[in-house]
Formats: sequence, C-alpha cells, structure tokens
Amino acid sequence: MRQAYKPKPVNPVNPVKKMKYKHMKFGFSIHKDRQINLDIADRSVFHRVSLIEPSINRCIFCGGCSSTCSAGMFTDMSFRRVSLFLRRGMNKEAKELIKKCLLCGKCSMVCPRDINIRHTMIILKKEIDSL
Amino acid sequence: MNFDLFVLPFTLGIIFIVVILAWRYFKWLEEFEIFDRKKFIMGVLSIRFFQAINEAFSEGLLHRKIFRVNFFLGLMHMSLAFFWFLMIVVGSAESKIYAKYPFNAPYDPVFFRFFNKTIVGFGAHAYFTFFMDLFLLIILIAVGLAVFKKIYSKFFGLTKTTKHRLVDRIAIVCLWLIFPLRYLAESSTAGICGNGSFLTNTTGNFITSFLPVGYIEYPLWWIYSSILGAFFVVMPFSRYMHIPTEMVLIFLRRFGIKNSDKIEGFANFEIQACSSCGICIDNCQMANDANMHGQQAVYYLRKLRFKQNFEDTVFNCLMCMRCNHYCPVGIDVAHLRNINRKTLMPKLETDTSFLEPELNTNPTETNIMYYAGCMSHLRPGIKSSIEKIFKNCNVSYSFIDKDSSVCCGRPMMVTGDKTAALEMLQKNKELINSFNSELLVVSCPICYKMFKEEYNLDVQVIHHTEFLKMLIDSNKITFEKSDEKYIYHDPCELGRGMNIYQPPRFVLNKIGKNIKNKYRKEKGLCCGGSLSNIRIRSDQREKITQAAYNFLTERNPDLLITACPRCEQVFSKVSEIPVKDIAEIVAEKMIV
Repeated sequence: MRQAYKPKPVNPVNPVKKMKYKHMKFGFSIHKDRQINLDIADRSVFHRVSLIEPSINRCIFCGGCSSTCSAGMFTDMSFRRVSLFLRRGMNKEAKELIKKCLLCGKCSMVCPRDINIRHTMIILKKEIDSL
Repeated sequence: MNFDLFVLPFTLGIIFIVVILAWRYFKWLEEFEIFDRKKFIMGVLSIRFFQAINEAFSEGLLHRKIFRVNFFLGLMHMSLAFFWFLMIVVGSAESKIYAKYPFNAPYDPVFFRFFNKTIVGFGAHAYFTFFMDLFLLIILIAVGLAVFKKIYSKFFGLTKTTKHRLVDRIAIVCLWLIFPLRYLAESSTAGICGNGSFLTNTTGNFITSFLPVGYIEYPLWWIYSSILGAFFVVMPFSRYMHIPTEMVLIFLRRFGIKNSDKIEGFANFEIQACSSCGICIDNCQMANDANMHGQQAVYYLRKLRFKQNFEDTVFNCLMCMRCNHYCPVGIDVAHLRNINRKTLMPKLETDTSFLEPELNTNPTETNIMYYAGCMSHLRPGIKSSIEKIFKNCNVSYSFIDKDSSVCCGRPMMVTGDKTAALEMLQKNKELINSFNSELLVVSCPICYKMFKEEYNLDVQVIHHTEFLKMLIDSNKITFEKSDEKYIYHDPCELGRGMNIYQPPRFVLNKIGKNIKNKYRKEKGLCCGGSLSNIRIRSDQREKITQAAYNFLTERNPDLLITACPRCEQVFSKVSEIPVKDIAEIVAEKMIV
C-alpha cells in the first residue's frame, strides 16, 4: 500500500533559511525578462480567431508552413510564428507578420494538421486594427 | 365587343405585370454604361438580332440544354413553354381572324370559347379548335409530368431539388391550376354548345351526362380568370420572373453586353433569369459529396435577388464553375460571385514592399521562359521533368522563378483583395519583362489563367501541356506507344477556366491509351483542393476528393494523370494508383 505523503515539519519561525552567496553572480540581469505570464497576456485575439476557425488549435508548430512560405523567402514571415505569437498574446509582434502574408496558400498545401491557414490569415487581416 | 365581369381579374393581372416588367427593365437598362447602350442599339440593328431570335427559340422555348440533362425533364419544359407559346399565338390568330379586326381586347383569345358559342361562317374553325385542343392536351400532360416530378424527381435525373419559398409555391400551384381549369371551363362550354374539338367536346359531352353543366360553366370561367390573374400578380415576385427575363437576357448576351464590376444593369437580368430549376444543385460537388447545402448557385442568386445575407454563398464556394457549365440559362455565376467577393471583402492590409523580384542579371538571349509557380515548387517532380524535357529537346530556356518565386496574385484576387494582387502582378511583370523572350511556359493553371487574363503581357503565354503538344508536333519528342491505360483529370482552371482540353489528350494518346470517363472536359470534377474556398473544412474537402477519385478510377486506369500541381498533390493523398503530372509521364516515357 502507498503511504500518504507527509510534509516535512517546517520551522514556523524562520521558514526559509537565509542563504548567503557572497562570491556568485547569476546572469539573470543580462537582458530583460522574457517569461510569458499567461495570466496577464492578452489572448483575446487568439480566442476570437479560434472561435471562427477552430482548426488553428490543431497547430503543432512543425514549421512546414515556414519552409514553404512565399513571403518567408524575402522576410521572417511564417504562419508558425504568427500562430505562436497569438497563442502567447504577443499581438504586436504578430501584427507586423500578418501584413506580409500574400495569401498564396502554399502553407495549407503542406500543413500536416490540415489547418485552414488562408481563412485564419484573412480573419486576422480583417481584425488587424484590433491587434 | 365581348365583355363580361369575369375578364377583369385576368386583365388587371396582365396590366399589372406589364407595368412592373416595363418599370423594372427600364430601371436596369438605365444602369447600363454608355458603351453597353451603344452595343444594345447596334445589336438591334445587326444580324445578331436574328441570331438572338434563333437562340431564344431553341433555348427559351425548346429548351435544348435541358434535354441534354434528361429527356423527360426537357420534354416537360419544352411541352409547357413551347406549346403554351403556340397556344397564345394560334389563339390570338384565331380570335383576330374570327373578329376580322386585328386590335381586339387582350382577353379575347383567352376566353374565346366563352364569347363565341355559335361560330357560324368561320371556315377554318375546325382546324383552329383541333390544334388548340391538341396543344391543351400536350400542356396537360406536361403539367402531369410536373406534378409527378414533385413526387419522384429521380425519374427526371434530379436527385436533389431546390427548396422553394412560399411565394414560389403559390405561383407554382397557380401555374398548375391554369390549364386544368381552362380545360374544365372549355369542356363545360363545349358540353352546352359543342364549340370544341376532340378533347373538349368529348369531355363536355361526358360531364353533361351527370353534372348540371349550365350552372357550373360560368363559375368555372370566373375561377380560370382569377387564377390567371393571381399568377400574373405573383409572377414578378417569384421565380417565374425568369420567363420574360430569360428572353431579354438572350438578346442582351447576343449583343455582346457583359457584366461590369458591379452588381447592376446586366447583372440584374442575369439574377432574375435564374429559374431555380436546381440543376446546379445536382451538379455541385459540395452538395453531392460533402453534404453542404445552401451555398449553391440557385440559393446565391435567390439571396441576391431578394437582398438577403448572401455572404456565405459567395465565399463558401470552390469556384469550380461546374454550375456555369450546367446552367440551362447560361448564367455566369462564377463571374457574379467574383464581383461580390471584391465588394464584400474589406481592404486587407498587405505589406508588399518586401517583394523584390530577382531581376535577370545576365541577359542571355533565350527563346523560352519557364515559370513554375509556387504550387509547382511543392511538387518538384514537375519542374525537374520539364527541365529534363527542355534539355532533351535542346531548348534554351531560362527558369525565371527558380530561387525566389513571388505569388502570381490570383489567390489574393479570388479572395477579393484586388489592390494587393495588382502589386504582386507588377513585381512579376517586371521579372518577366527583364527577360527578352517571346514565349512563357507556365506549369500551374492558376498562374496561367492569371497571366493570360490580368497581366496583359507582350510575350505569348502557354501552359506546359500546350508546349508538350508543340514539341510532339515538331517531332522533338517521340515515344514508343505502350498499352498502359491513363485517365486524365481536367483541372478546373485549365479546363473550364481556360478551355484547354485537347492538348493533354493528344499527348496522352501518343504515350498510351487515354480512357474516357463520364466526367470529362467541361463536366470535369473539382479535386476538392480549390484555393478559392476559404471556409470549407478539411474533412469536407477530403470527401470531395475521395468522391472525385472514385469517379475517375471507375474503369481501372493504371495511372491518374493531371496537369495541375494542386490537383496532383490533393489526389496523391487518397489515391491507390500513382498520380502524375503530364510532364512527369512525358519525361519518363520519351525516347532520350
């Protein structure tokens, strides 16, 4: 039989033992914090789009679309990045990419998850002002 | 002058419809552009007018196109339209000859038998009544067929029929009742006075034997007139508006008038000329295979007509143009949809500043340019085969989009954003013009259509199927004919879009045996991968592809051949036999 987990008794007076690192400096302050706090991030655009075109939820970020993208030949555009940015609430970054889409549809040809990418991009292009 | 109160419903009805039609047609003709008005006037004065009369006769009355769909369906429409027309013409002649006065009242021919109970000294009467009875009999049979069609439409080759509106239902009931009522009314009069012929006299004598005909004759004429009047009142608001409008449309089309880029003028005639027959529903792959209903051409045109929300019918369409081909009225639905796409789609923000076509840096003179197009880059077999063929035939060529291909702009165009598409067009044009060649060979039918229709290039543009035919014609490629069986799938954009049917078949017949199937040439099926539909789900696409594949491989071919990279890719997902582009099979089989 599994035994129930018993937490170790904590010293009620001083729970965390004060540590002193006198000679060590960690690199956390080299650049700005890039953590994405999903509780704060504005994911409303992603939810709005996924209501109209639910297939965007199927994205596995494989990058097939990035490798075929017509606009990606000239810029850093790729649907994978757009999808990722929107999911993380990085709408400003996504906005610049969405403008570059030429709607040629090559990405939908290679997508292994059969996402209706053209429709997604059209919805995003229509909503671009709210991004 | 013959007059009775019961002529009023009919007369008022006919005045009503004439006023409504005149007002509507005048309004639509007023919307025509100046050059269309010139065409209209020139057309009336030229030989086209007589050609239009011929077409109006063969399509508007005899309905030859519907005969091609199904014999009984054609028979029903022809009997109703042509013999009703004959009835009107012969009836008018009869009444005018009898009255010896050409300008009699409009209701005279309709109620001729009631007003002329004793026809004396009218020599041709026997012939006239005989033919009028004959026409009535044929129309009654046609009405019987029409009622039977509502019960069992499969007999008429229609598996799906249009869901009609209430007004249409009222109109059709009126239409069905008109002729039986005329038959009864004339029979009862003939039963009293004997002024009918083989049909009405016999029936008249029969009903006199057990009915007090003297009492029911007058009410029957009243009902007949009222139903006629009701039909004319309902007609302008129902689908039967197509009867007069189709005739006008045939004349306008013959005069060379085309749709502009707005839904007005000529487009109104096209919209109202739709008879809601439902032949397009039966040939729509989305309805047949993917079980999607409500987007078909009938419903689209109806929603346009009554100004309902038609957005989904515009964008949820594969634009395969099969409905265009099958439409018995010949309405260019795809063009109307394209106009609507442009007006409905807001301007999409597209930044095309980054597009810099790799201009030709060493202008070596080559005769031929080759443009693969983005789709062909995803099927590398096609471009390598074409290069192999070029090298084998010692053709000097430049592969103009080898490294960086800018989209041709057609996907953007069919989505509705013309501005962004034109920017891409400009970039590609710069690229093409930087090569001093005379011939541009294109592998992708989508690009091909765009280059031909929108680009206005100085060079000649051909699809690679045409180019292969040219090479075979000049004996640059030879084959050893094998006994492999090929089935050729007509891509929509190349077939119905650009009318290229013969070159690929010519090439395939040189290599092996090209077998025919039911859906060939203009009837070709869509592979389901069309870029024009942005809303269709992938599972629905798959159903269409699977069904199209099943139809194509009915006769067990060894290979499925197509000429479009998109079709090839889509079919290779479901196919059990190899799917190849025509260039690939040529490169494989040619004698090096």
